[in-house]
Amino acid sequence: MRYRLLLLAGLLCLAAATSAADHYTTAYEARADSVIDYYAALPYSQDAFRAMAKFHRQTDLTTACQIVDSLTARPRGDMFWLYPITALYMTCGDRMPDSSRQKIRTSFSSYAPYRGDTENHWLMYYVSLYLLAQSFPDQPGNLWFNGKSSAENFNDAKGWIEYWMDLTTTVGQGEFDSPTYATFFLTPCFMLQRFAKDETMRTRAQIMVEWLLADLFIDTLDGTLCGAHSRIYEADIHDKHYSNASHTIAFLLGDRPLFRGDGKPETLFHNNLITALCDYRLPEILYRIGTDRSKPYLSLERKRSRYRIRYYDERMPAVNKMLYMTSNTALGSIQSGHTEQILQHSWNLNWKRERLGQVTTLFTLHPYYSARDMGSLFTSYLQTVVPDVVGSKTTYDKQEKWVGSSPYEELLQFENTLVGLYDLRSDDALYKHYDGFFPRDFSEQTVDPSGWIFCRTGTVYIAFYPFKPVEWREEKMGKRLRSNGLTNGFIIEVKQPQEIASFAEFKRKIMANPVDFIDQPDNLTAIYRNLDGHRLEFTFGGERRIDGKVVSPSGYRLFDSPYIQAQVDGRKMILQHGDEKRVLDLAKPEIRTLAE
Amino acid sequence: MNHKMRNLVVLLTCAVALPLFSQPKTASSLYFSVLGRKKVTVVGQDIYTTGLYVSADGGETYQHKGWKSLPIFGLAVDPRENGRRIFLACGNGVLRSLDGGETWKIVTDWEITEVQTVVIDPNDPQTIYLTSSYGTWVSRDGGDSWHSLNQGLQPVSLTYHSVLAVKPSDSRTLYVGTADGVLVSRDGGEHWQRSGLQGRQIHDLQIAPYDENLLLCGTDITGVYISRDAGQSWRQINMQLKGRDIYSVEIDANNPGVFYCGGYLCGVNRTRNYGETWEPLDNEITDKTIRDIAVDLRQPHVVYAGALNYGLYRSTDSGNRFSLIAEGDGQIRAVAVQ
Repeated sequence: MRYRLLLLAGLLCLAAATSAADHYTTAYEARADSVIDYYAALPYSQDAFRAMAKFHRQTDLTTACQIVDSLTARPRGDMFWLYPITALYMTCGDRMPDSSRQKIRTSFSSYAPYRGDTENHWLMYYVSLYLLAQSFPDQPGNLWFNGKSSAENFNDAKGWIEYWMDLTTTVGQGEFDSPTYATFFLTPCFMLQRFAKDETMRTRAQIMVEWLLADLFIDTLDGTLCGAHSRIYEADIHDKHYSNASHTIAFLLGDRPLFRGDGKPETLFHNNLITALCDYRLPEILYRIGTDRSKPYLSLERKRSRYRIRYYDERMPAVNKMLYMTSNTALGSIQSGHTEQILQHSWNLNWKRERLGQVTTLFTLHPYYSARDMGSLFTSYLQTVVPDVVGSKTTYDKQEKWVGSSPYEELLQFENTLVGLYDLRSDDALYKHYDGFFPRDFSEQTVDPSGWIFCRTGTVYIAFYPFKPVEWREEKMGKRLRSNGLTNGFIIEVKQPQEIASFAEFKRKIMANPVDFIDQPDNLTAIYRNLDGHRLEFTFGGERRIDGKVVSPSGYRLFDSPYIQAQVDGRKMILQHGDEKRVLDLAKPEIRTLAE
Repeated sequence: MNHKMRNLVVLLTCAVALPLFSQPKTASSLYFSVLGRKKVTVVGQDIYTTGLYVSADGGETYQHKGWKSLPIFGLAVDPRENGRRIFLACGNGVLRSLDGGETWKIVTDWEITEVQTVVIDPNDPQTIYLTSSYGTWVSRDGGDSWHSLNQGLQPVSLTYHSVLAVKPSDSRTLYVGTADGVLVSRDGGEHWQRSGLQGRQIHDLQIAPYDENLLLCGTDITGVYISRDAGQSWRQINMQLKGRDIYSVEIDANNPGVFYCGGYLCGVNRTRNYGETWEPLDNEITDKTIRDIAVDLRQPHVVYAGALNYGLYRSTDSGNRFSLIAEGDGQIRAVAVQ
């Protein structure tokens, strides 16, 4: 009898699992179809994605051909032109007239796209070149924009793609965890895993797709990419639900509808169309890693800075990140390493939203800019590099900016508690304050005479303690906290409502905790014991202690969490969820799925 | 042709071609590169003034040659090939033309990027050097293949190579300007040693053709330095020099002791006494940021100055008076006369 019950239970579990997997697959295919349909129905625009969908659906072909005409008559956009038109050719080359095909081919000899100056640019450029050289083999250099033969282009592209794959799987990703650019790494990999003729390259590309997705999903809560970011723009800072990364998350995980009732997109980015046409199916384990928030977990990651070309000891300095995830909250920060001052977001807290449009993020930063830091990334003169940068990143040198990092900020995180310290005494620190963003949508926000600031929604309780007096300014998306002081800092502790009896109890317990801020010329130290009894002790430029033990955030693995493991120099990622295990082994290369 | 390009061509034709129309066919050819100015930091912008411009017929006409979308930071023209062999230092690598700019090939691969300068060995036209933000590379076969010359160079600032000079009488002696001083190699780049000016960012470095022990450096923040002993010692020569961020230095090969320099908001400056004193030249370009200066070897009284923020200037009287000969919506990045 017992045996039969066990067997029945097993069969039911299997059926449930199969059903869940089938349901996901069916739902994904429906989403993919809806994305293709949406772009196929759009009117004319000089937009390769529309042509892609129209040719794929074999609808409105006149418009599709007109789009090809416009894209090839006056190409522009460098690699942002190259990868969509390559995708157009790869996905629909056999569904378009010879004349359109020929125009596309000719454009690869008449227009010379710039390779770019960031890693995502290069990946778009070289994956496109790889696939095009593969599609038009044995052609001489005069038929290619760069004068190289098909074989030369193929080998050049293959060389860099493999270099990038090795680099990312040994010392971590550059331009990491970017709400804007994550999709520009993923999309070329989707294209490569679908269209590379070489089986080994296809496997390598699939490994990279899953590597990048695991990296994205482990930091995902409520459809947003949480924690610290290397590159984020002002447009995404207050509501990441509409970032490129969120669109990708929504498309792959299906955690919210892509379209509103009126058929207009709620969350959609055109790269999702390429993904839809690349026939990729997400493994169940990645779906689970992206959605299972039933247990809190800590995720440590080792990333790398963008290439430094001068003023640095190392070419690609390490960056060590921490993220603490619960079912409702995600607190993440950069714990050590060389920061990128232009678009980095060094820490933030995100929580689950209760309704659409709710702003669910809180963070601080020291506004800082540096010609020298920009000069370490670009070849511009130090005298002109800041104006050059401000030409496109308009807030870069502004004291009101909401993105960027500072060498005068240091952070110590332990799970749900974060201590930030600022030493702004250097003349190089032009602005002598830090700013904090407090969103408009708290159901309650109070400032206690003790100095503690308490905030709550239905999903999060927050306690924030600034070490120096603050002033508040109303802004569109929330309030700006500004705290002036050459030496300064804060403590933030976060709880979910289900972890404590009430908000009043949360406040009472927090205020019962003493905060010690030592503010001496040679000693800037914060000491705090959180509600779980853990003691954080942190000196700017000095030791970090948790419960009396020195901690060093400099030796993180590439990934270290209950769901993802990867060693530095390993070229291997192990995904684990429940009984399922998946090994991404770039060295062999192979993907193995194991059940324990 | 968009209006920016049209303006450029019209102005070039009127301001440059006509005055030079009557010059003999043996007149020098002028090469300069333009980087579209508006939003140049944004990749993907439609910048049609960008690229190489060549007057290959003594100044009768100017032509845009090659790519229109690629930043060009430096250029080299082989004087032995009558202008047919051209190398461009670009963000995508090194471009080579063997037919005077009609067709081009990127002759470097992915390992080489952000190329700052290209230098043709004066004694061996098959030996080409490039400097980049990833060090110096050499080709011994005219650009077909490249080899790194960065052995033992660290930290990163020592591999940021902005300029290279080959000793005319001994091609195995190379000087490189880095983000952290000057390096010298006595064995063709196999090994390097420091040659002074540590901590200085070097923007330009020249060897005097009439005295190979005389080196001239333009630096960031600290102005101009001269060495009279082949880089063993250096002396700062900034007396009456306008500005200290010097992007270009130029030695007048035919007039010992005459140097030109230019840089950030300091126009063109000239010395007639080996840098003991400088004089700012011509009010018209006094406050401009000068990216490159070139002296016509055949006509040493003809001096060109490319402004980073606006236009190309020409003097026919050794710099006493400059006139704008080309304007456009772009930065002049490199100037060469052959």
